[in-house]
Amino acid sequence: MMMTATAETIQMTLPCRSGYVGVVRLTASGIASRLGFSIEDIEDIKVAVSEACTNAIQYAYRDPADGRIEVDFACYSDRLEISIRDFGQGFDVAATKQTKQAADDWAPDDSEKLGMGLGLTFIEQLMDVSKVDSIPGKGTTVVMVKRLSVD
Amino acid sequence: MVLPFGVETVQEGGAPILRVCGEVDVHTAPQLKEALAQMAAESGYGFVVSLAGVSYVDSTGLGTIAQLARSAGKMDQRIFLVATSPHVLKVLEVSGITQKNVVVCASESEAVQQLVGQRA
Repeated sequence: MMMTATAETIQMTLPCRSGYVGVVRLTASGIASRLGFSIEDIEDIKVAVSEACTNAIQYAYRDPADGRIEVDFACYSDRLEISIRDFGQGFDVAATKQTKQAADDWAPDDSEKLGMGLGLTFIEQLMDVSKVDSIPGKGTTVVMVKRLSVD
Repeated sequence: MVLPFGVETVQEGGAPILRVCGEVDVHTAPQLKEALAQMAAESGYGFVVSLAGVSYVDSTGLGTIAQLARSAGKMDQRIFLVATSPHVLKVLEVSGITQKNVVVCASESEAVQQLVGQRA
């Protein structure tokens, strides 16, 4: 990722509960709108952010009540960079990507893995850059970038 | 303004319709799942799911619909999805759900027509 200029950052820490995903989405939408993203780009960002939070809520913690999610929005003049971090059990990124391919025929036996695979597909498809780092026992960080298109 | 999630069941021209509105995400998808399961149990040939009032949907909503499509397919039921907003259409496209036994229609009347036509 490019390291140009300084970013203005907004940070959120939230309980690992489904009811808060809408709050992150609203925040993301507000920040993206302020940076001048198009309505279509804002929708993409909302979905990508929600997918990362959803994965954390559904898979990161054995007991989600103890969990938290950290979201950082770094605003640059030419892009928005978002990091979503949990401190849960982590997962095998490569294996999930394989399941994602299998998910194309919509007939996997494990619907949970399908959900996660589909979520990662959305993040990849809707953002310009995305990266998932997961360390077993330590947690998962998803970093995603949406560039401002210059018209 | 965020529209609250809700579902309602109506009958139109002999077709059962589930109208979904608001945001479908990890928080509300379980309610959608329940409503869809009830529709599937009560409808013989198939039914219409209208997403025309949906302001937001992601993989959790799509996964729920995909699961439904899978079990409906086994029972020879057909699902007619109504999608109108660019956001919902894009999410449907990225998910690839449109390729399976789910028919995407541009309006509720088109969906009803197709369902009733195919049933006849």
